[in-house]
Formats: sequence, C-alpha cells, structure tokens
Amino acid sequence: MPHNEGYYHAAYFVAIGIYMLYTISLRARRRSVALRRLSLGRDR
Amino acid sequence: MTTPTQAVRSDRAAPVAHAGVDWLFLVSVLAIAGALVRAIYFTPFEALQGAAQKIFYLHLPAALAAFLAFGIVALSSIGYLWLKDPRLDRAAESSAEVGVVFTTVVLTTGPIWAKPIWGTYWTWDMRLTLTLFLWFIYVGYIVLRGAIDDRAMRARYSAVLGILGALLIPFIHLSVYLFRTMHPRPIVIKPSAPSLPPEMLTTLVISFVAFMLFYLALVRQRYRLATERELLEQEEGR
Repeated sequence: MPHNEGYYHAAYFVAIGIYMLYTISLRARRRSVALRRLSLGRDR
Repeated sequence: MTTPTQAVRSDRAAPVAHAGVDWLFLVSVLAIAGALVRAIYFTPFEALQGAAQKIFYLHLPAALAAFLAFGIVALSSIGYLWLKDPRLDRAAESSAEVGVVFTTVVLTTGPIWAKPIWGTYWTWDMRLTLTLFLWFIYVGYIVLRGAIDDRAMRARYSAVLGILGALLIPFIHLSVYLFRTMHPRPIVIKPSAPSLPPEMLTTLVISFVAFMLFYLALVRQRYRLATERELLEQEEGR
C-alpha cells in the first residue's frame, strides 16, 4: 500500500480552511451590515 | 407578484445582529466532525491508493453540494424571471456564492488527490476543465452582481447567467462517458448499484448528509445577509 498520508492531510487541512474562511467572512459581513444599520438608526 | 419592499418588509422583524450561533450551522458542523472522524479512524484504507483515497469523503460530497447549489441557482432564477419575486433572486445569489465555495474545495482537493494517483496535480482533462469553467462562470455571476447597481437589472441579468451556467452540470457528469478522461467514472451515482465496499459507502453517505446540512446552513446565513443588505439599502434611501 502506498504511503501518501501527506496528501490526505493536506487535502483535509485545505478543505476545512476554505470552509472556515468562508464562515468567518459571512459572519464578518453580517456584522458589518448590522453595525451600519445600527449607526444609521442612531443618526436619525 | 411581490415588490422588493414587500418581500423585505416580512423580514424586518429579524434582529439586526445575530450574535448567537445558528442551530442548523451547529448541527451541520457536528455532523461534519462525526463524518470526518469516521472517515479518518473507522474507515479502512483502499488497498491500491492508500491514505490518499480518503480525500474522496471530502471531494465527492463537495462536488455534489456544488451541483445542488448551482441547480438551485437555476431553479430560483427561472422562478425569479417568471414571478419577479426578489426572495428568489436572493436565494439564487446565496446558493451561487455557497456553490462557488464548494467548487473551490473540489478544485483544490481534486489536484491534491491527483498528484499521488495520476502523478500530476492538473491535467486538461474534460471533467477537470469543465469544472474549472463552472467555477469561472459563477465567480463571474458574483462579479456581475457587484457591478450592477439597479436591483431589477442585476436580478434579471444574473438570473440569465445563473441558468446558463447550470447547463454545464449535465455535461460535467457525462464528460467521463463522452470523452477519454483520466477522471474515474462514477462509482456511486450510476444506473447500477454502487461499487464501493459497505464501510466506505456508509462513510460516504454520512459525509454526504453532513455536507448537505452544511450547505443549507451556509445558504441560510447568506440569505440573511442578502436580506439585511437590502434593508440597509432601503434605510439609506438607495
């Protein structure tokens, strides 16, 4: 059986990294919109 | 027919900031963790490919989630062009962005798997090339949406692109039958029974369900973002 664990670990690391970055980006964008809405409400 | 203002007004009751963790997101993350633990520790190695074959449990569910995502973009876009309901436009927008994320995972895990098995990270094989084109089309879809200020025009143009892009999906699925490719033919989604040992098939099914839940959780979050952005635009008088 070939020993290629490095590729398997790299793929899991990359995939989890992409999903995590996207989740963080979603939360950051929602937070930014929420803050702008709050500041808009305060200005009125 | 629903106007943009009517559709958003129904979401106005939603809190401005969602500080807590979404239950669906939490369930999907736990399901993915369970699926990966099963794939890593409780699923046997494939005799010929060794450990690299375990990339399969990430790669295939991501591909199926991407195809589902772009299929939903097409259906929502058809619905939008017919009914002019902005909720369908927001659903298409959300599903397209999440679909691009899943396709990015397919296009990165695939080459990492290909290197030890095919001896190269990339080859201009029909399945790989068409998947790359699919990614470009939906990246273009996101760029297009960002470039048009007029809401109705943005929704209409992106709906057309969203429908045309999804036409590539059957060609991607059939490319391994229509062309001579290095990419293996489907071993699960095919007319005959899946040709996988039961332990591997169970892990794949668990992983597939977990990633489908994750897709739904991400689309739900992205849809909320689209709704909140629209509310902000209305409040700013745009």
